[in-house]
Amino acid sequence: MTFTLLIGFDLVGCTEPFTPESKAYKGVLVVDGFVSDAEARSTIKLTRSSPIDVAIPTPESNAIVSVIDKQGTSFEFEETLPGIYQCIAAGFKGVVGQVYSLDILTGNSNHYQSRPVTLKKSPPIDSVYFEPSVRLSDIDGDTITGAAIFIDTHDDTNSTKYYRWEWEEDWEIRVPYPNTYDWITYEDGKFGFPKENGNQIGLCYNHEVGRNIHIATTNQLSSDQVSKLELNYVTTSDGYKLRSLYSILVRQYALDEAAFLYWSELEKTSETLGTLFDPQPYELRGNVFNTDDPDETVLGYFGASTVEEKRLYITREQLKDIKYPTNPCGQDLLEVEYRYVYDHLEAGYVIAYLGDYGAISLYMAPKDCCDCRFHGVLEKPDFWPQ
Amino acid sequence: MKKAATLLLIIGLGFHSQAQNPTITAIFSETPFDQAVKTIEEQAKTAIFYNPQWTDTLRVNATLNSASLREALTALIPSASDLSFFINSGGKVIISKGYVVRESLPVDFFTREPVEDKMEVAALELEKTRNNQGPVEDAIENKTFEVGKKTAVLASGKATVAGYVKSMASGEPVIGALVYIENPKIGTITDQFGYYSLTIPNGKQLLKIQNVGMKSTRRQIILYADGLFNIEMEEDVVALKEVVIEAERDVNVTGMQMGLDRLDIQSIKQMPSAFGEADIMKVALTLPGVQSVGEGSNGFNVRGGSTSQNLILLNDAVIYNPSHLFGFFTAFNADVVRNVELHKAGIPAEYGGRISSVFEVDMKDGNKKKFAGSGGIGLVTGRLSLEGPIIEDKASFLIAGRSSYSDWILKRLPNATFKNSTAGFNDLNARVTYDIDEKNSVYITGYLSNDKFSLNSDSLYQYTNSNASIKWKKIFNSRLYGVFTGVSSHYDYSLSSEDVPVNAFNLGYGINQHNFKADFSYFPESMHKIDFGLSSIYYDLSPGFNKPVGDQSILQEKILEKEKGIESAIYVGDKVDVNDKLSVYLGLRYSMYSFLGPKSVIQYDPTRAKDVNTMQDTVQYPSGDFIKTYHGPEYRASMRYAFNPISSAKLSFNRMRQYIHQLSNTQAISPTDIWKLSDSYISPQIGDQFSIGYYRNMRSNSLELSVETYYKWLTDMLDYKNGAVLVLNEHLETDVIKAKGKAYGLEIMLKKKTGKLNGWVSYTYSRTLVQIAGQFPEERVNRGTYFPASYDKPHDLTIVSNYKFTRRINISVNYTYSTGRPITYPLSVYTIGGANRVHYSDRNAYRIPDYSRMDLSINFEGNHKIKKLAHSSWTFALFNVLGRNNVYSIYFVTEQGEINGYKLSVFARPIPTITYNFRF
Repeated sequence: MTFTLLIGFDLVGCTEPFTPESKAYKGVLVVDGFVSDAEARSTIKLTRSSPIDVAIPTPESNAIVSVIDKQGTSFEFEETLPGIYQCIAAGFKGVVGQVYSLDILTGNSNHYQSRPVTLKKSPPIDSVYFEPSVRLSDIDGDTITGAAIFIDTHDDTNSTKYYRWEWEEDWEIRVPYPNTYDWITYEDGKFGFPKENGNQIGLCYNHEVGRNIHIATTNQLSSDQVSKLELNYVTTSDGYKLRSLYSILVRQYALDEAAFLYWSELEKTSETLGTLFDPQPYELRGNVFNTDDPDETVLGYFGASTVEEKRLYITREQLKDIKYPTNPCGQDLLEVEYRYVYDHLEAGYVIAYLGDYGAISLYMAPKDCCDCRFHGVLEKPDFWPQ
Repeated sequence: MKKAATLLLIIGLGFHSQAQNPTITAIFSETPFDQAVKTIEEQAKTAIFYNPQWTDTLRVNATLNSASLREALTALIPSASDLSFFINSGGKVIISKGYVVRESLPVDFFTREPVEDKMEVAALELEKTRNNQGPVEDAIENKTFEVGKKTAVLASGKATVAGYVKSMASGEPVIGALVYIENPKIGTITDQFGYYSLTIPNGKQLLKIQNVGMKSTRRQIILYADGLFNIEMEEDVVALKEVVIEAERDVNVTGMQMGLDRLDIQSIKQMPSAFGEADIMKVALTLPGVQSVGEGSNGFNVRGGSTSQNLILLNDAVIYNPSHLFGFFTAFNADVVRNVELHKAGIPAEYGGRISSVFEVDMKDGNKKKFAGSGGIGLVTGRLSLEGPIIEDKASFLIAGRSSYSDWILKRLPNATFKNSTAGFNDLNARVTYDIDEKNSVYITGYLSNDKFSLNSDSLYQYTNSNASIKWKKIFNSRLYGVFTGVSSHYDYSLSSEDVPVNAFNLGYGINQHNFKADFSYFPESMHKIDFGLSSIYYDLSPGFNKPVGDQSILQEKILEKEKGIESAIYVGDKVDVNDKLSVYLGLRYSMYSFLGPKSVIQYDPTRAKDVNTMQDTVQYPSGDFIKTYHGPEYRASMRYAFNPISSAKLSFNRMRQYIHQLSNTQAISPTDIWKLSDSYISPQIGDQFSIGYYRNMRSNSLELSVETYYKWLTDMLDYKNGAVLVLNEHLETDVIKAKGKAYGLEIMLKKKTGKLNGWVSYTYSRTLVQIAGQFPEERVNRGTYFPASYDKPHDLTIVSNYKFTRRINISVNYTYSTGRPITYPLSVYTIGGANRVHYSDRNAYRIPDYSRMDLSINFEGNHKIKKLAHSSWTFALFNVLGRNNVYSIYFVTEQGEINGYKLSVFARPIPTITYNFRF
């Protein structure tokens, strides 16, 4: 009979941040290219990889970039911004079913070409929707609330099979105590009074682009149908995101099998690591090669697809049933007598609102509770509803 | 024979001249026997030897008044009992049970037919230190047994004595016990059945028998002709915690085997472990030449072999997944393990099928004498085992089960994914042993293990090992025995998720293996042993399926075609001791394998690399067709040359062939790794190993030094292309590539087996390099150059030490250091899809930091009274004493577009445990 008892708790295992030393570094050409049937979307980005501790890629300028179709027609792309090549003058528009390949001649006279890709048509998105969802946080395992955003899509012709999505989100920021008064002091600075300043800094907007890889295949399903695939999970603790109006725009691309494999390998080697039985990461090459030296490492991918979009709005009203953490500025409002206002201004407080008529005190709060520009910009996006 | 009689006569004369002076005066009234004996001993100034088990219920009622010793003893021993006493020449007393000790030979001694159980005691040597347990053994040790059909005149020449060595307490066979005679020096070691066969000169011989954890014993025999002779050994209770390998005192030097490590369960239980449970595989890792990728990884690497190149056998049945709970527990319940053997080199011809090592776990037999049970509850598991006789001394059963009941470990893993997860396992071992008669024994064994875990609560993983075996051992005569074995092994895993009803699925994999083998051992003469046999394995694999679950699921069912194959082998191995110095073993195994239909085989454009674009055609093979056949010889040879009794050199070469391959692109074995048979494209792996070693015993065999070096060639190992998809792949040949490996190393081990301080220090320098240089660029890794395997750890130092303060307190300190394992490291960063990604180096171009860990345990034994309700002990253990944060892996993740590096440690801090053990 064996009886084992443990003294001490929470003793096993740990994950710590790790900063790698920079190893022998060589900038490698990176191609992030995409052509579609919409005029403005076809863009070829050329960069060089950067050392691990710098992590800012260097643009590859002065390259001659062209996209060549099956018939041999070449469309030259011009450098519009450093490392960004677009075909504006010739008005390049991809055609569904056409085969394209990318041709690059870099400044140092190396010649690169992509494997030919066929511009694939994406079916329209059926719907983008959300559901409230309670989860455990990755950091401390505590419960957090939020909205999970899903997509449904399908292709009746059963020909898409491989999908990729990108999203970007926008949200309103309404700070709890928009500042509309300044404190005017007399010359000695000891006495002062509040004065309206005409500020309109209560409502701002922010924008973020999702940067994880979202792909799916229906290859193993009997119908070409993607159901309830989660693209994003927004939490109520993520600043002002779900506190007023939130919006997410989802873009859908169709992939061919090779592109799907590339994106799924990229995902596997960069986003889904850290368990006890991970696959070994490895150098992942795309579909672009040096024509003279096939052994040279070239990173990135050149793809072609039409793009479908769908936007979803989530109002605070729709989330009334979920539990929010306490208001970010709830504890920070102070009633301040006039004679102490100056000291509070020095400490980073601003006037939230005035006291009752005749009072000799007013209410102050930290700047980020009164000025939405700490969390976004005042400029309203074009598409934002009134 | 005559000599013995003369000797007796002298002793007899001596006895007569001895005077009986002291007298005894005492009154015994319901006095316990022990006490009465003490009184008599004191007054008579003598020592009385007896087994207290015979007398523990006896009460003495007698009045002695100036009685002689003889009178006192007559009063002491009830006349109705079968006890009798004998006073020797020194005035010492022996109480015997069941027979009378006589001072002279009976008249018909030399003419009677031998009657084994009524043997006469021939000679006694009694000046031993006092030990109450002594007499039973002494009595047997001093009997003379006749072996073989008795003849009037002792034939000159040699005969073979053979039989079983068994435990006196449980009737279980004693494995690896040394049975030998000293003059001339001839010895052997009992096999897995406890069987030995020894060809020695006819006449009177003294057999000596030694084994770990057992009291050394001896038997006097008169060998007339070939015959059977069984030996029972007594367990050495106090030796429980000693790592001492006394039994094989000089096996290091004189034994034929090299690269063989035998672990007894006692020393396994003594090692400090992370969760307070004895772990066979973790102990194996302390041996030189055995490594693993890290904590929480399944399996082990032997001398540069991959984890799948070890033949892991539990009672002859292959275990495909030897771990529970991500490798934190082994599949073997230490409570029922009798013996573990690891062959690293010089693998005998009877083994085949994997190219790196043989790891053989042998289960205990049930107790043939009495019912016994044990059980327990640990940190994570609970367990129970029952054993007992079915027919006393003939048939027994043993059944043992383990089950986990807590998610304790998972809750402590550094990841919220694990915190939200559950995991559990259970296993069951059962065995029935039946000794039909002296010459026939049957063993029936079953094993079932099951693991279930659900990560982040949305998908359920499950895997099962199950097997059953039946083994019949037949002794044809004392020179020949045969073992016939039938085994069925099964492994499967499945992964299911019903979170999203339209996508609900159940994905799985399965393997079935049926084998039959017949093994024979023939002992033509002393110093000569021939093993031969044949075996056949039928494989039936379900390489994968993915099925919809529920009515709503729109998943398309996908079932990969079955894979079938048959692997057969014949072998012969011949071991000859040429003379005292030189022993030679030569073996040959010839193995044949056929990949069987029905199966459709895709044909590829031979001028290009195999991939989806170069497929040309599919050929259908009907059922029973031999699609592809591979065969070849496997040479096994070893040699030992003893320079003198304390030093020797050994040499071995072996070739192994492996027809079933594990596919894994993870760093450790993961439950979803699959096995694949050799087929039209995947040829068998071949491993060749040449090994040479020097062995020296010092300080009268108490210090053992062994130095072994090896060089290993691995051909046609299976590796994978970067980004390979291994699950549900209909054309795996497009994702796997052939690799070539070379491994070499030097292992030095210094072992101190006896004394207050014992243990070992081992240092290994080894390299394992892999080359993947296919014909086409897609089939090359690191441009076709040699690179280190992911388990290549050049320096490895292990210290296992055990210090005995007193008989009841000992302390174990273990330390291990090894070079960090190779990893693929980030070279630079690039941006794609709006996020930063890592550009990785060549495969395995860098290393994680070195590994170092120290463990400590202190063991307090209860008292050593032989007779008590239960034997108990306390163990306090501290795993990872230094609290060193050993890095298991370093990885880089793109999170919200930024690259973050992490290092993961499995045991980051010291883990203390207390274990209370008791057995009854």
